[in-house]
Amino acid sequence: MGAIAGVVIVIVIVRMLSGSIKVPPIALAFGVKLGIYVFAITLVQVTTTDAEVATGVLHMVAFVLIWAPIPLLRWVVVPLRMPRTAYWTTRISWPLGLTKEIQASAVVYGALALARRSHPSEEAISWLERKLRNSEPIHGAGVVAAGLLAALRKDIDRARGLFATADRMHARLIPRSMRVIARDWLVVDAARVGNWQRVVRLGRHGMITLRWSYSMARIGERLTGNPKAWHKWQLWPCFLWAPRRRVTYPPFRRALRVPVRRSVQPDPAPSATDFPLALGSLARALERANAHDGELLAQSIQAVDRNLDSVQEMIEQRLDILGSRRDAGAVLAQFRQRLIDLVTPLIEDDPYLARGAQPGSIMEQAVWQVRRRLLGDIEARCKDYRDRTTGETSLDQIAEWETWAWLTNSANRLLELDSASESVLFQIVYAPVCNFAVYQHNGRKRIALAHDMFIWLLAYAQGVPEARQLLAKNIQAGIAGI
Amino acid sequence: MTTGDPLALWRSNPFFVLEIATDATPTDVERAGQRLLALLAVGSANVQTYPTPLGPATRDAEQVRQALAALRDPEQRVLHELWASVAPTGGPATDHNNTGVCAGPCAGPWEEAEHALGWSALWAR
Repeated sequence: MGAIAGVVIVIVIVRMLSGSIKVPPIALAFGVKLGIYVFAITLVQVTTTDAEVATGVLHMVAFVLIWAPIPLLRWVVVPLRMPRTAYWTTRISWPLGLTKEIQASAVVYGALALARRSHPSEEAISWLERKLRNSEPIHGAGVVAAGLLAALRKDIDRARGLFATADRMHARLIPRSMRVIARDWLVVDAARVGNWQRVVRLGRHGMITLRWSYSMARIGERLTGNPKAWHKWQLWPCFLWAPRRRVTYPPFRRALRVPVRRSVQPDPAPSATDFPLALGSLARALERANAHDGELLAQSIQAVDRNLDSVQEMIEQRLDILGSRRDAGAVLAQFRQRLIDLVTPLIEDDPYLARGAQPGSIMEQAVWQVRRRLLGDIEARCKDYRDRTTGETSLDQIAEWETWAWLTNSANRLLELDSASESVLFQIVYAPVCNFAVYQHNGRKRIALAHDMFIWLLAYAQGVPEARQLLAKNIQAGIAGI
Repeated sequence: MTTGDPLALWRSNPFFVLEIATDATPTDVERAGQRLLALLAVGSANVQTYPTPLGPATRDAEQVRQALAALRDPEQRVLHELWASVAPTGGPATDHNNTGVCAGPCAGPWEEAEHALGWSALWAR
């Protein structure tokens, strides 16, 4: 009987190795781990001494190493600040949730260990980068790893784009533990500059709710005076349920100090009735603490614009005294242009600020400048995709994910700025991105990248049934390969 | 996509850089500029920073020369006079509605945010 079972096991293994039986990596990892665990426990029992404590400890070590490597990595290995140890521990312990991208996941834990050092060495970053470039395949964990390495190099824009891409990925492409790393980084990135509106959007409007970012979003709602903000009795359990309570306590305490306002009266326009006061209000709105308050910014700019007419006479007098022949209109036009230039970088940085823009206002003119620049950027990237599809040229996997992250980042900012641009955006991106994704899928076997591109396009193909049909078919074709 | 100081350009208004009033005569402007250039040339630490209604800022000789050039053009001068007429922002920008809600400092930056992730290297500094 035993011999028959042995023969069956050998046949199964041979067929698996030849590829005629396809086993999911997670099942394979589970089987191997079970085998090692049984072997390790048997070994411990065979060589056991009288010391029961020692046996218990050995059982525990075997259990943790084999079945719970993620807590071991997060709580023990990463805080040791040894990136290579973290990398190899991940590779050897083969965490079940990360089996599809074990090399890239190992780079993630290596980078997290490195981030704990006060001065991450260039040599260690390069070592991790080489490991990442040799990883195959690259899905969500690879994108998170690239984001962490960019952050370690202080390339914040690149890191932001990659983490945003990882955060919006379909659950098929990214393990939950990796999404947590990406989203938490984005939350911290927004909170450190006081952009609590973005923290709320990240924590509450994503497809998947994660404990810490959700708790931070609830804190952000209180801090920004959101009418839907939770009361103290609701906020406390949320805070206690989330991790990182000790470090999150200061903003939580700040949030508790802000009273909940259920009925929100619209903020009155700054009451500056003369030009210097209107400028003072604008300066306050621009200051860091309030720079993320779009309503206040729009109202302040409008107040300055309204008061400009009152200084026209004064401008004419001054020009006369100074001996200039130009009229006041030219100076006012320059002043308005400077106002637009002042606010444009802020809107570029945070398109959500533009939600308070009124038609015909200076703020709206700034919005159009940003919109034009973003559309130009998207068109240039689409042209690059078109050229590379025709020429059948491709970058390495990480670089390809990065260019994709730049494009989606620009597109998402454009939609945040002007949601009515959705159909225009789709018309620009559909053909070049879809064709490039097909080339990546068929020509380069980069199934995950192509899959992410198809899913992203499908989300904006509302009014184009043929495109929806084609994209749905392409998504189905990719599922088997992921 | 980098959050810089949105008021940096405003603080470098020529009237603030030269520390003169908006109704200063051309002679006063030149005199203030030359005085600052001389002090900066000898490395006087006192003149490297200057107060503005939007908070303190730093200057160098190049900025002083640019300020002098800008104020020699009447049209540019009037434009800068407008921007320089800003009322002092005075104190923290809090509670702009007088509602008792601390929307200003409460909703401000979270300085220790990076530590929440256990990062020792502060990534954007």
